[in-house]
Amino acid sequence: MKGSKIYLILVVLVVSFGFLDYVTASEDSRTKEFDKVDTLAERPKLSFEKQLYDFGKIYGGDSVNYKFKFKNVGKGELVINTVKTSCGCTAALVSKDKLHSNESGEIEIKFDSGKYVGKVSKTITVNSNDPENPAYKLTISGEIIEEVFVNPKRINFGTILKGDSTTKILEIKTLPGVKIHVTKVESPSPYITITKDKSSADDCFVYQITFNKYDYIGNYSGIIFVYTDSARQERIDVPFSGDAIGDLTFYPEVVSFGNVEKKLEAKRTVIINLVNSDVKIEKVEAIPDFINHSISDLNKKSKRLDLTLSDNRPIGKITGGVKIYTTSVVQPVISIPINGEIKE
Amino acid sequence: MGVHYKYFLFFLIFFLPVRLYAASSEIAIVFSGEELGSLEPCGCFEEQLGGISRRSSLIDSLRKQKKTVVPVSLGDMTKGFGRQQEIKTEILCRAMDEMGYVAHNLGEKDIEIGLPLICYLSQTYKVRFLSSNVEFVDPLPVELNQRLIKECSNAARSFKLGFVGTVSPSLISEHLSGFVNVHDPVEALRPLVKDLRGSVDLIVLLSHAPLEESIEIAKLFPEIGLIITGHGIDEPENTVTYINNTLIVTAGTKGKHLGVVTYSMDKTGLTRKSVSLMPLDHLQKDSQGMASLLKEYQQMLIDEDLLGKTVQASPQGGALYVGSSACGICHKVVYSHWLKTRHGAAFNTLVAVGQQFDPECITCHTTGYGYVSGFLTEKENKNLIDVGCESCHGAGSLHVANVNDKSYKYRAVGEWRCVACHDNEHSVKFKFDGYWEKIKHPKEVLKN
Repeated sequence: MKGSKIYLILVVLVVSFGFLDYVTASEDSRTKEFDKVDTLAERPKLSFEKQLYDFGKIYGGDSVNYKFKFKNVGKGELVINTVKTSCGCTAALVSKDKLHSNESGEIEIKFDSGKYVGKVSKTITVNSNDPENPAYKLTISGEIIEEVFVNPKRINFGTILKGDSTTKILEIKTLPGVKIHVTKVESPSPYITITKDKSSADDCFVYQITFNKYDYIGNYSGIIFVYTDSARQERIDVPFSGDAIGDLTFYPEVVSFGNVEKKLEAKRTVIINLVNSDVKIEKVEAIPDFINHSISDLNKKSKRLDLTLSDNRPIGKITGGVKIYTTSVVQPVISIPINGEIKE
Repeated sequence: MGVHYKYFLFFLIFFLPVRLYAASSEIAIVFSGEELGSLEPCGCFEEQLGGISRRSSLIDSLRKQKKTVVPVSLGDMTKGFGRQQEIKTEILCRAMDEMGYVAHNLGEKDIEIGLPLICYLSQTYKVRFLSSNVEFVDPLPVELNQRLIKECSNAARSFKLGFVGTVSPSLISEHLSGFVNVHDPVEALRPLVKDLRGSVDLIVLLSHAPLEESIEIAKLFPEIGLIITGHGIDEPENTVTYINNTLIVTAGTKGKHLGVVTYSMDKTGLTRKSVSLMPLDHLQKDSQGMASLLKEYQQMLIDEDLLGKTVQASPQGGALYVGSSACGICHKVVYSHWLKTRHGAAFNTLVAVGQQFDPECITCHTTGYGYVSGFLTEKENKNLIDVGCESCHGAGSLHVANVNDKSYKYRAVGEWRCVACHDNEHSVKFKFDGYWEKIKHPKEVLKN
């Protein structure tokens, strides 16, 4: 008898162990399984006059209201369980959630365009006890327009050699007939020159944006400010960026260790690219002395400089840097600041 | 007793291999993409979705279910360029490494962030950069793979997944043409798919393109079993599509969802079992590892003093910011009311979550950020913390200078001013009428 009990316990354990996977596999019941098929069988039928509402064109920041009218064209009571919208930009309110046969109701929608621009399409899902269509989808769509449109929305000057210049075109278009003017286009960057192009027209202003006289090596960025007399878009920021390179490029330009615990391994990497393959790296120095460094070849054109914090690093802020000495005339020394904070 | 032992042995012999076989009988291809710089829910309201922390926990839980998990990224880690976006991209790459991502497909915004960063990321992190139709023509080397093969195995045999990735040329701005060539995706895929056909069990395409373009690719290449696509699709549930045997899915934007397609590994090969699009909501636990990474991110913003390096524009009309306390000299009743509103404590809500050094948050929690004389740092501009009078009415120095001039019109406020900050992402419950009641000024009689 005792033996039988032990045997039974062992069998139960083995069976449970074997089926454990199948139990845990279906733990999260909130996942949407698109391959499953529902099989309800009830009588009401939800019918909408329109499933799609196109609100045409509105300005950014404006809102749209619309009522979708529906009716229970089946037999039996129609119950609207939930009305879900696809994003917080769309609110939905149902007038009635229980309808007898032939009874009508409506779902009022409010769509806030917020910062959307361009064509949008939002879905409202009406969940009910209609067996044929338990998740009825309604759609509102349209286009959100700007009074002032800039192209491109940001300017990437790409990679240029130190001292070179490069020009990009910025187009500012205003809605025809709205009489909006561009009052000023400027940038606080001393390396940006802005010239209005002769091809500008009444509702399309074209500017040549030139980046020049940048006598440094590294990443550069800034903003071009476009001022208009539009109440909705007084100022439009057009960010720009690019990279000026010499014989070598390196990334990142600043090494941040962030917040690092004293006992944990902390390593950062700098990639050095040899644009001029004749240039060699002679020496690397890192301060303070608890920053260790090692340099290795990644490929023919790149080297990898690994920086690690030694175990004896003190608590407190890291303020240091690494210097890379090269045979380049243009970049004899590369200095990369290092910062961070060491905590217990 | 001897009989019982025999039965027990019978169960052990037949059940244990079944259990071991079941333990690794599924592959879960997990996909995300188009984070557009979203690392975590900002906390502006409850029920926000997304974040690398919840994503990591969910991936861990899938691994604990003894599935072979293969995470991949569709592209567009960031939404623009600039130093903060670069830092975010690095943090995302580190997060993907820790989560075990096998591939990141290049989207157009990944290319726009700049070649030096792409060069650095592709050579530093374990996650491998994928693009079958992009070619960089600049002097900086990028570790870019046209295709990747991932091998998975169960007790019986090994299975191969072949990954290819494309970005639609329609998404690439003209100004990038100087340093990158983007070839036609169909022409780029033709030789790769031909090569993979027959040598892998499943071909997966990461197609960073509008849905319609991905559908056309599915029709041309029926050998591709799974296409992960998307560009600007907010509602991933509505875009699950089947073209013959090809499943087309998307994970949506801003990292709010995580897609999972599971396949069973059996003698016949890989059989698709299920498709799930899981919202990353508050029911997912936060991952300790990711929480540390996010703290590191905030510390990097401080270390690099991104706030102090903000480029400032001139305020309209030449006015300068004076601070709400200056307004309170005359507008005592209104100022005193403002101090009690949430606008009057907006900066502290950032301090409470340690995000008061984040330029993306500061814009809507201070006064005049981004303008000359506006908020730059707390240390220098204590009078400009919180959403002050000038956040809505504009820089006030000219109003102060013309205080006795009745013809001078200081800017009126409308709903359009509110939605600049109370937008769909940060203030989903915003309704102008209700919110206005909370901040509108009480009546005040001003003495000369």
